[in-house]
Amino acid sequence: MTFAVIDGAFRYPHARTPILDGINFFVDEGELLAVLGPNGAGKTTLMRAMIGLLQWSGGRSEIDGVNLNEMTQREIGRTIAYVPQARSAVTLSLTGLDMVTVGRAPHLGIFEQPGLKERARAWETMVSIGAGHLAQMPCGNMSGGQFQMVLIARALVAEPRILVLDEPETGLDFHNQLVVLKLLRRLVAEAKLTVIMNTHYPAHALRVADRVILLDVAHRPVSGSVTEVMTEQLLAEVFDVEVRISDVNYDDQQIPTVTAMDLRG
Amino acid sequence: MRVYAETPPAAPAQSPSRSNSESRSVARSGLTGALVCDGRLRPWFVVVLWLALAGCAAASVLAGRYGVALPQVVTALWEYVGGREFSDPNVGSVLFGVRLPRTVLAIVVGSGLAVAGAAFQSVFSNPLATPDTLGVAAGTSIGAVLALLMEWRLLGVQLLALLFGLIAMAVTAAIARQRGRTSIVMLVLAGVIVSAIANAVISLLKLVADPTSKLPEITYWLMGSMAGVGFDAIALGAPLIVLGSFTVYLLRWRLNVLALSEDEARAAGLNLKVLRPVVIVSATVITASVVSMCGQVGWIGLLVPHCARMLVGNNNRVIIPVSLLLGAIMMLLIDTLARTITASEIPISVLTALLGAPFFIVLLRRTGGNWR
Repeated sequence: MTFAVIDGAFRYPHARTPILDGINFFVDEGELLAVLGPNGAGKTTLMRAMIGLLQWSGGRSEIDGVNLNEMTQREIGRTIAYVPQARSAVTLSLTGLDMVTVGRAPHLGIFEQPGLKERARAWETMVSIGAGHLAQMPCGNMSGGQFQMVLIARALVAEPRILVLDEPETGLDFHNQLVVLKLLRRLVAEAKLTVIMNTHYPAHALRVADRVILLDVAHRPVSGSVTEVMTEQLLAEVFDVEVRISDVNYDDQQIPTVTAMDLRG
Repeated sequence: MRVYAETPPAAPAQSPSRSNSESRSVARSGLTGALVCDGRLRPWFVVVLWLALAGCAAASVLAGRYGVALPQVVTALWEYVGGREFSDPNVGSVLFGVRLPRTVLAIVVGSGLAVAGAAFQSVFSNPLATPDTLGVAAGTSIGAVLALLMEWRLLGVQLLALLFGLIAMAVTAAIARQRGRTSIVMLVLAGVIVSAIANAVISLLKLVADPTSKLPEITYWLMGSMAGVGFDAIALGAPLIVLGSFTVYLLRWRLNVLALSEDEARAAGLNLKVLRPVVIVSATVITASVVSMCGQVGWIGLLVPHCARMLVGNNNRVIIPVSLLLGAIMMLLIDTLARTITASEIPISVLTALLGAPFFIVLLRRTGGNWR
């Protein structure tokens, strides 16, 4: 499914200036869009506004040309799955499998209980992303990386067409960051999902994204294909650092990397 | 959607340093695994709970100052069902005037308070949220005391108690909510504040109450007692408790979604604007009905759900039914103790506190304040 935001603007009540303005982007199925920007540029606000958790003060979100406001919460829940930032403070936590089963909620009636079929599907989803060993562990005992995998499984078990993740790799170690990134790439390539993720790391956007929207505190946001947006000049302006982009040869593949060289004088 | 299931799974996101937390979880899932299978209670465990409930109910009917034997009870029940005269009028009047109403009341009150506690804990995703800690119990008491002063009937007492309970709930939630989020500590502190205000108002009401008739009545009633509540009063109060408990029971699995953050619950397609108030009002209705029938019965709403958690884990799908049964069992035991261990009856809240507080200390020490 194609997800698009047209002229999106958001202003918190009582705030003088909008935190988001002139947001325009689209992302097709089988594509990954990365949202990039410095702290305070409104990345999480954009995530919440574009899937209807906040109401746009101007503009709209569209799924295949249909305005999100014309869909019910339930319809949105079946189409878009949202993965929040994995916080470690979980109280009264469910086991991994129970938590993933919760993801079936948009498909069950209000008084309905998940049956064996639902649990089997939750289990299969966990196994398919390599999180099967977390099924019986209480979420509160999990590490950040483990909990993130459970949250992604919970999102996938809802059988969404669009997956929205808020900083899925933040706070994870080197290994787990790559586990998450490779998984997202696989979902895009094999399950043809539309994936939108929010990230602090330009290198990650460069590595896995097809499209990028670059938010900035001072300027209007820039969006486009990864090669259009991820230029040394644009990144330097937005993050106020000197940036070099280069390709590294690994296993007969050119893997692009980006490094911040120095603060700009 | 399963396309990606065919590729080899990604490496498990795990490191050796986490083996400690894992061994803890295995130890914990041992008991839970024995009682829960595929997210459901094992049938034998349900049977055991029901048998325990039946046993406690029988003990509650038989125990007391006036000795009644099981055959006498069966005979009297048979005569009652058949619509005949009691062959032993004493047994008949003790059974139907005192014992049975009390047993029924204990079952309804215990299960109701336990479910209300579990519901509050989920809806606020706060292990310490209960009718007592949220100030709801104290709030409902204002309404009930007011109604008692005005000599209203039970229905009026209940409605006024409910009204003040909802007000107290709203005030607590409003104080605790900061920028759209409610922290565990803030909610409990707000509950303490609201309880303090409510208790001050109750003291004020006691001050103006007639010291010869009304004041003792209010004071004794506030301590909690199931004595003197007949079938007529139960017929009025119990349906509301049953209704509230049944609503929460039907929504038990959804409570798992409700316990997530607001964004997650809404993104999962949940209508929070409807579901959250439904659960909160249900739990408040239960509390208000309990308070108007038998005063403040503390601790049950905190202890029973946590007992259930220790037994079957944190999935509300199984916590709610286990809390229902355990709450009834515990209330029956406490009420039977309250009226049999000494010549004069001990107020229930005294016993629940004396038994509940030490248990809670054990619980706190075991979890170390990490409610996982």
